[in-house]
Amino acid sequence: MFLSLSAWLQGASYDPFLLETQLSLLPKVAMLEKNLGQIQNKLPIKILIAYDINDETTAENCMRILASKFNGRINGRLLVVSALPFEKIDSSFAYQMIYALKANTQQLKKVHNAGLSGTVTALYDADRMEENGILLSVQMERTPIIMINAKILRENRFSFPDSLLEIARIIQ
Amino acid sequence: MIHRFSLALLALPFSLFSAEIGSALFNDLTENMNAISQEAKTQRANIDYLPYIMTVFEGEELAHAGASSLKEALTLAAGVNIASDNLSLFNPVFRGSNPVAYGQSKLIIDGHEVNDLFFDGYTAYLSMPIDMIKRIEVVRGPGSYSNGHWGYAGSIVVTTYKAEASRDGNGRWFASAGSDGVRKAGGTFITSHDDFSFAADVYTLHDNLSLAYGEDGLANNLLGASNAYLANSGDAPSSTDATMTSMAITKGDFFINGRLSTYKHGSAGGINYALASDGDHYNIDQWQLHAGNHYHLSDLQGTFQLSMTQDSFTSHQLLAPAGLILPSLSTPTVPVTYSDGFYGIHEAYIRTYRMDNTVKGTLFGGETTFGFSGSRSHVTSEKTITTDRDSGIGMTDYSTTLPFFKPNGFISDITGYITYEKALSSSLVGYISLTVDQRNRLATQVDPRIAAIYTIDPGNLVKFSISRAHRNPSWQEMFTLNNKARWGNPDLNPETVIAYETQFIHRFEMDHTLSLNLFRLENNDQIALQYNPAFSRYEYVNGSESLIQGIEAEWRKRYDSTSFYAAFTHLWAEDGNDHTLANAPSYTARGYITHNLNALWYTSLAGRWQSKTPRTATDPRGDMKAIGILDTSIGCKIPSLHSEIQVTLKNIFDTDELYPSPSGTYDDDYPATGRALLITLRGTF
Repeated sequence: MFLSLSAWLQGASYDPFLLETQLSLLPKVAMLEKNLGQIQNKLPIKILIAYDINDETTAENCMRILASKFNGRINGRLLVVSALPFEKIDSSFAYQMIYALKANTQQLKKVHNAGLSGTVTALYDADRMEENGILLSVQMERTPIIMINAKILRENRFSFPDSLLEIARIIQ
Repeated sequence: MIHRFSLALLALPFSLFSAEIGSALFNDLTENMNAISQEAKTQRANIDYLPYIMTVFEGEELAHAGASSLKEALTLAAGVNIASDNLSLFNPVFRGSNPVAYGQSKLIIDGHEVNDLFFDGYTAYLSMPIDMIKRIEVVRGPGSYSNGHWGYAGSIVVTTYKAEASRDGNGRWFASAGSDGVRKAGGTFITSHDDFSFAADVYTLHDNLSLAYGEDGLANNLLGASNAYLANSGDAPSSTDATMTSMAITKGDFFINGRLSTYKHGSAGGINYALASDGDHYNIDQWQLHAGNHYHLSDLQGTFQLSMTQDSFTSHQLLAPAGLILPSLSTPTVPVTYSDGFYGIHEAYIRTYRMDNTVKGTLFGGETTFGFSGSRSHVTSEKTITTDRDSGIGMTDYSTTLPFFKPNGFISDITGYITYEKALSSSLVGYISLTVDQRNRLATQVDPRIAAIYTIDPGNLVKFSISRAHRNPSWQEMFTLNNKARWGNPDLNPETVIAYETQFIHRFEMDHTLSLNLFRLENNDQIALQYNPAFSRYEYVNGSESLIQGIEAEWRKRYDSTSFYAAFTHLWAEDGNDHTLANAPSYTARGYITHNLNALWYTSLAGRWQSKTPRTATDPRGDMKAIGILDTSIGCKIPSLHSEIQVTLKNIFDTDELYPSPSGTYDDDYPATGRALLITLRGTF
């Protein structure tokens, strides 16, 4: 399954079904992280779509998908979505989750670094999450498979409920 | 990378886990995953994990690869060859299986089978422009995965842009012009509000193609030795005029949709193998209307649907040239000279009423589907008007005395099926199905199917299946009368096949896969025309069997700016007499590359090759020679207008492509289009 979402513009190719699947599931997975999902925490959840400059159209589309899926709220909390090119990601920004579109190693390093300060990181290309130190992804097999990077989970002291770990695929 | 397998691969509903957690969010997540799993099946987003040997092509990618129609797209798919006949009807042949039987494969468009009742083929829809098509799924082997449509050699499932909304906009349009007077235009529009949706599409196309044929069947005494000198050769009308329009309305659980297709084509090599003249043509028209309602029975979801379809075949053709001499109809000892030739008007209109009911849901931890359908087809109008067969001049209506098919013929079908799919472990999924089908008084057909998918690891999986399938004889094969070139037989047995298939899929990385597929097809009761010297005519008989074994390989790799697809098929095929199976090339290869040159420009190269094509053992002509065809295209996007322009050159080297003619008809094989140029403008709104 393949289709260039940016049909009339140049950019990387994305599987629209996989993209929608990831954007439906990953924010919910992120909210299951112990610190992020604490009920008493009433602050808005901020999600950043990080993209290569050629993928701006896809990033805008991701924002539209998130808006239509969540209608501005997730698990009772306000959801704020923004998009930035990888080059403009600043570690001083406070995001609860960064979702990275296709990127090179250098670009993903910025996402990885953001994860060191407690941001849940997720990546479109599940094959590259381990080598680039990204916490989450979703792969489409017979069913959607939630992928969790065990090394990042340990190093950054993220904590998910056992039930999620039971249905997820853990990459050691 | 070390993986631990997830329990998500089990068929157990995800919601079971949520009960342990009591978390609304987790519950929501698991419900979401279940819904996505179902949608993935519908949108073929997980085809590697479905129990079929199949390939999915996106219409947009095929368009960029230079395919301009459904037929051209299919020539790029592994295991599919296009066959043709004297009327220039086209028939996608899967893995060499009986190229003269049109109904061996089924075409399903937006959930509805569109094979016409008369031939059981779908020539008209093969001309559907690629710009109408969002996705093509090619299922090789028996047992289509679309419930209720049981493909024999294979199934082609087309999803149009009308059927699935896109985020690119509410509508699409295109217009094309090219060689041979090709003109095409069409568009799609979708709108929805709350639980109401409306979608429609339309296209029209025209060409003025004329193809050069060799000496026609008269030279082989098909109308008697005394008429052999009248044999003709040269250009024959092969032009096409086609229009298709469809619409779909849904309101809550209620739906109604319809499709109208008209297809007019030059008579080409002629119905009776006499070369057609200017103005000779035939029409294959069809309309369909479906209405129904989705319903719920406890946890089961059902769909009830009523349908009405009309198929028609009409032909207006000079069936034999001026000077023809045949015995008088009323006094056979008196010869009649047809000074203006023998002209025929043949018309058949057949109406089908159909009821379908499908129920699906989770039973015993697996996904189950029950289906039942019943249909009845009968003639609403028939005409057989030809040159008077006693005087040789003027036209006489023989509709009641010498009809070209049985006027009171009917087809009554009752079909029931059940499918059951269950994950037996984290790495093994099992699938079983059973179909029971009864047509008229023919023997009841019972087709079981068993399949399994074993996931070795996330990058490697294997599929196995054993299936039985059947193809019911078509209207033409059962009821054609008073035509020495083809005579029907209402007592034909259905063709049957037992198929053994396995496929290994290796996933290198995202968008990079290689698959290998081994298959063995045991075909029995294959229906074909056989000459009956007692009546001096060709009759449909259950004349042959065949054994087809083979290996297919498919490789797919997509970079951000470049996309590759390559397929290779090797067949070992023999008929019931241990002769090499006719019309089935042993080796075929095809593929394409599309490449984005920069932000605006893209280009492509597509090719197909097949080894020499063997003929029947009794055919004195040598094998058809191997052939390779290359196409190329270049396109430019116009972002400000949400559109693009593409120029495609088909058959770059103007290679002579031919379709095999049966022995004793045309000595030369049937011609096909040569080099052709096509310019297309397309966009969204």
